[in-house]
Amino acid sequence: MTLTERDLRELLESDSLDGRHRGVSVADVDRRVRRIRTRRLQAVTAVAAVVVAVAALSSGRATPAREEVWEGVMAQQAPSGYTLKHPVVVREFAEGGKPQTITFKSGEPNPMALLVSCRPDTYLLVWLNGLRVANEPCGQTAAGAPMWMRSDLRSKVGRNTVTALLVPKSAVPGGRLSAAEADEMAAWASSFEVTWTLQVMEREPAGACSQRLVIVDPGSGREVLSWKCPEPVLGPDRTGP
Amino acid sequence: MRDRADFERYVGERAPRLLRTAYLLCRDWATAEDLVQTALAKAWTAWRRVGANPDPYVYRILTNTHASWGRRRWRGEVPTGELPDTPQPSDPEARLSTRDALRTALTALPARQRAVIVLRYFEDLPDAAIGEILGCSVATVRSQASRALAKLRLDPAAKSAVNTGS
Repeated sequence: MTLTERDLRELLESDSLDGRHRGVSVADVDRRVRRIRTRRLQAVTAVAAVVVAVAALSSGRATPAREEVWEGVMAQQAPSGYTLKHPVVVREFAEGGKPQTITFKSGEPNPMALLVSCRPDTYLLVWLNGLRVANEPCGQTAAGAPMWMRSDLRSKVGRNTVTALLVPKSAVPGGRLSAAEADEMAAWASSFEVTWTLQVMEREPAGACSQRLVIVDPGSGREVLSWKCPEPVLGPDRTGP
Repeated sequence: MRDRADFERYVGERAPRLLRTAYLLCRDWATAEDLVQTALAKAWTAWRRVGANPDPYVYRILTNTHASWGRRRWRGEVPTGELPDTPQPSDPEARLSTRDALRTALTALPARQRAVIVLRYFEDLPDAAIGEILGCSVATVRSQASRALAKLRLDPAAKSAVNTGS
């Protein structure tokens, strides 16, 4: 028997009619969108952790242990190193060209970092409590990830505000904005579609809660590890704008 | 600008057909639902960029996702090589077994060739549209179709249609 094109069409038609399935609804698709976005966010956070680890390693200096140690710190990192503890606020946006603002609270002035995952063809402006802390293209990290991060920031007591504006690189003549142009950009930037995230992370000096902190009992000579990490002092602002 | 209502209408109208297409690509209903959900989710994240007809965009995501899943994990497909010699036409049982053999041969086709066959003979898309979806030239679509039909041992008349692009 010779198979014809018609046989093939009939077979495709009849096989796909045998619907032992429940179908696909808009709710299913929405769930999948959330999963995709969560995965992207996790990937960004993981890359950020690597970047921070690299930064900490490159900036930290090991100091030799004292010769007659009975109690103290062995090979502790210098205070210039830092570690990120956890994200305080994470927000994803689907639109660029429009200033986006997030707020968080702080019990005391605390070291913090800002991290933005953004496409390499975009340009970023960020203000923390009204002070501009970013005015540069995205995708400048050592790890080469399309993101921007600044980890030498400090929160103020009470409510803190972070405003970020992402614009296409093509909208920035000469590749850089002057201070005045940066402040004016929010007024004339036009909206465009882009997915990006903004994270506020709590930061602490390396060694403040270091895994290498060792206490030696002078009597027994036994080593005791200490894990005295302070409670987080930054938190999401639940009071609203 | 395409909006949320537009997207919901599109899902309502097109999801059943997309599901059938996805099933023909992967031959598993659960995987087909996964494929369609993923394709529509990706389409939604780029919905404003999608033009007046979202079908080519969605089909492209569907076929690309299916191909990438095929590369990443084994999904229980067993290639069986060439279709066995065809039996005599007078035998109804033989006809059934021929359809089974055709089904098996379809399953054994490489993902790209199967996509060409499904888009051409199930979705009735012209070769130019298939080329756009698969990101290749019309000539490549025709050569892929020709190879696929040879493996399926289809009527020479059907094969000749390949050359005319009908």
